[in-house]
Amino acid sequence: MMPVVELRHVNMEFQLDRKRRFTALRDINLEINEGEITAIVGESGCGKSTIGRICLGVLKPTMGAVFYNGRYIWDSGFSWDKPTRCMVQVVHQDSYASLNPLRTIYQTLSDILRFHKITRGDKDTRSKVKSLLEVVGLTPPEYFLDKYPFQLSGGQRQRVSITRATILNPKLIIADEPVSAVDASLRLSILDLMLRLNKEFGIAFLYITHDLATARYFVRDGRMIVMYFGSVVEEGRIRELIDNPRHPYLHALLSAMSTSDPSKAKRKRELPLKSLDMPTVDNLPSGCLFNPRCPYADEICEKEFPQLSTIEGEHRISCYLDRVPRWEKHSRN
Amino acid sequence: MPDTEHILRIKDLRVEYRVREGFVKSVDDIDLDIEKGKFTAIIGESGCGKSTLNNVIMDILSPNAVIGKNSRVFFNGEDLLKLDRERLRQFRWRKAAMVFQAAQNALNPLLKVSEQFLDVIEDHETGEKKRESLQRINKLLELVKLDSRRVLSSYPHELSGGMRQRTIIALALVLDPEFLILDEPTTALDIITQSYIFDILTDIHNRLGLTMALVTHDISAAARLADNVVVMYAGKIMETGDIHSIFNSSRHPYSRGLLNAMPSIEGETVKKKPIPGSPPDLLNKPPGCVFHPRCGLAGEICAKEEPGLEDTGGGHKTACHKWREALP
Repeated sequence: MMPVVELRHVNMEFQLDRKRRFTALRDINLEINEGEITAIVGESGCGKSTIGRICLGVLKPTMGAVFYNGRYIWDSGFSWDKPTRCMVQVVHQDSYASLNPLRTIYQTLSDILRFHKITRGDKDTRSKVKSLLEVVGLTPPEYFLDKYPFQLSGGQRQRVSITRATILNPKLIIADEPVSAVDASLRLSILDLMLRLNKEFGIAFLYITHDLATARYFVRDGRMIVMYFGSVVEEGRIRELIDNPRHPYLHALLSAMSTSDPSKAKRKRELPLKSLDMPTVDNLPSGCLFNPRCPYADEICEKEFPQLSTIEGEHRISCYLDRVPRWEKHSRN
Repeated sequence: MPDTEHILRIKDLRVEYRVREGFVKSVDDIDLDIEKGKFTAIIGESGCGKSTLNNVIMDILSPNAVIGKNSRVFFNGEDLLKLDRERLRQFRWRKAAMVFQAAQNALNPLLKVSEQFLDVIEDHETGEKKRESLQRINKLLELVKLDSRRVLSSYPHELSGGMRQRTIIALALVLDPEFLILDEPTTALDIITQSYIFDILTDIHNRLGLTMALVTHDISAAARLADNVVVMYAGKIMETGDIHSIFNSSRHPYSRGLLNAMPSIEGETVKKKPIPGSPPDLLNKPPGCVFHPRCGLAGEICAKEEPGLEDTGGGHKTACHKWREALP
């Protein structure tokens, strides 16, 4: 079966000023199949949101190809007709900024229905919007219809954003940090809602986050891609990656995660890192981009950029070192 | 009465914000003591009143805030709500300092870091010689693991987010305060930087014996740093106790729910559950226990009577009618 969205050898560069260019993505390959949940994790500036924007089709990669259902979307003959545009939708991090503050929930949602001629007349539109709000758990819908975004809580606003993204039956939703601004007690309920949409309507999700814990909760059996400074450093099934991480960077990320068990959390930990500082745009290291921070790096790491290569099944890593110590889960602190 | 055990004692504190629709009860008649020399975490979700609590202590509430008549906030026995301008000026930064949320933007972009440090010292008329000040500043920067030569001569934009945050922590310590409040000190930072800053904070706490309070919504940050925990919800204190008793044997359904709603990289994902419903409208709080509409244990009494903080043993206090049923 064709992947819903596929990126092949995607590179993205941004021109910073007349002289300097910044490479935001290097050789990204990604396949998102129908109904799949995939996570992209990494720290700020690693390019994870740029991948989201490329999948959405709002950003054209400098090099490489993007396919929707096997069709190359940046081809001059490609038609951006309505059904194609509806295929991929997005849920943003900040639900406050992504909803128009001057329009009620009904106005925001009904516009889409009317524009796409899904409903006819006010009565029909109103009842459709009501049923949509019920699906995402905003009940009773009458209470929410004529509210403005500022009258809702963060969790409720995010539910409205999710409704807006699902109205047009998309194949894929790009969820860019959808719960990082939502209160802790409600985070799981938003993730649960998206899991339900995935199960009931077969919508695939690309979950972009810096939080490995919510990724683990949401992605379940799906894949995870770990990014560092524009490149994929490790990818595979999320369970395998968290239980058996191989790249030194993923080791560092996992060691930095706090747990909610105070006796474990308080144990003194040494992060497996040589340096805290991320490379800067003007001063990119040669070879593996992680080598200045990697405690295991040696000569080859400073010279050559490691290719992503398979270690087992779908588990791939871009690292020269086969002597990176095995990850021991229970002694990590 | 002199109290050597607690640095801060809050009695009947009530803070309301006047808005067009009425009064938002942000902090609702709470009593709270902060132990000297300990690291206390105040945990809660947005709107629970944790930041208002801070702002009362530093007297930086917004103009539409009204503090209740019977409210008292004692810092080492002195009522902070009665300080005049000059005393307040002496109190801030020298006695209690604060590291603000989004502190990365709290530095003046137009001044070099060294000038910002020296400004604070000069403004508080400590009478210290510049050379001595610089020596002390160097030591403080060392404490937060920064290269003082590089940092002092830099402008804030030349530093990374994590470095700026560490600079702010050092700056807060520059007048040698007794009490340091950290309001969400790591929210905008990446996890590796966060973890590093947590280590630095633990180190400072141990080395200087400073009383510290962490205000956060991040339970795992509290688990890592705090000795004591205060759980707040909708302007009320739900539970207080030492970190192990709260995290391992909480007596309050809200704290338990919150802990159970935290995804983790360990354990089974399927056991995690969100708390049903959403936090109450602060203009229109539910009668009785503020948490009862979302609580699985709620009974008749919960909708009628507001539970007070009850001692449940071992220094642990819980505001719940049904805490005996909530026992693990």
